[in-house]
Amino acid sequence: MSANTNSPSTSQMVGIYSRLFGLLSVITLVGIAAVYFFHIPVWVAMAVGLVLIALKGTIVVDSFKQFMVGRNIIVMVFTMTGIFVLGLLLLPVLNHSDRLVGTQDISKQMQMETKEGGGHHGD
Amino acid sequence: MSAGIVPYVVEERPDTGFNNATLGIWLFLASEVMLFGALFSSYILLRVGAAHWPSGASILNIPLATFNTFILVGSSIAVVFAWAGLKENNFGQFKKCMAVSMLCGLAFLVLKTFEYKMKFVHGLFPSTSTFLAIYFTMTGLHALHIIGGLIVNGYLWGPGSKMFKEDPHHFTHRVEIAGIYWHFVDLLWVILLFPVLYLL
Repeated sequence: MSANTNSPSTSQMVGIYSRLFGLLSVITLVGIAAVYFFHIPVWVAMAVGLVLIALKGTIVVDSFKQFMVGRNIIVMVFTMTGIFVLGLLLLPVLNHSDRLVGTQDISKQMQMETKEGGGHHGD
Repeated sequence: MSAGIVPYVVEERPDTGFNNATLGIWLFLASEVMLFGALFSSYILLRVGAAHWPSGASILNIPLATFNTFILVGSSIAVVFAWAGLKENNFGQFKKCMAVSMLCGLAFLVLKTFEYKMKFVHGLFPSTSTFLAIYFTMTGLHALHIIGGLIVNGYLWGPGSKMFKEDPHHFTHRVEIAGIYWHFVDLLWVILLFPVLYLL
């Protein structure tokens, strides 16, 4: 839905949105069928789920892409948003690979301190 | 026009390619993407660090959530038709379609409340497990977004619709902006929350 005179007409816009939500509905049903009805293993279900999420995201970006042509500011905003979100998603990886202060190490350390009855948390 | 007031103009600015309201809603949605991105990152962190993580299907009601998903999809499509009605100067179509959209949004909230109630009845609270904590946080925040969207859409459907007689172009643009937000809330559920919490 855009007021730009260069944008598609109203009927085209309705078509774009209808196609978008139709496709998303079909993919959602495929995901439910794969995970809920066929009882596939957890790791396969996760892989299928992530692929479907990526597919849905791609379809949405593709649908809205034409509204962004020639509007560099919004492309820049969403590029920055994407980079930021990607950074956030990488945080768990960084945390998981941090052998010094990973969450598991902290919990083990706390358990050891509780057993010792000291509970000293540094100087 | 006094200094310090950003004028609400429907015309696009040459420097951005958008008018102020459209640019504003896209910036707001970018911030929302970051908000839910942070929550999703927390979800991954908690899930990777957990010794045991329950399957959503074992705790949550997937058929009910699926029904809710299609209610939201229907609501978004109704908003598109409401906007199309205004573009074609058909105020009656706008009224009907926006009413359908709001009813769908309300139905989503009612079913969500029912789902929450069933969890509480079975002794499943946010404090019960990490999975339920992140489930209630993410779906609760999403429900707050639905409530916010319903308030705006309700205003545009009710008292705000008087503007259509005075300035139809301006009013159509307001509905368009509210519609973009509503689509975002819908897509957030369809793309992220429903698959991640219920299916993975």
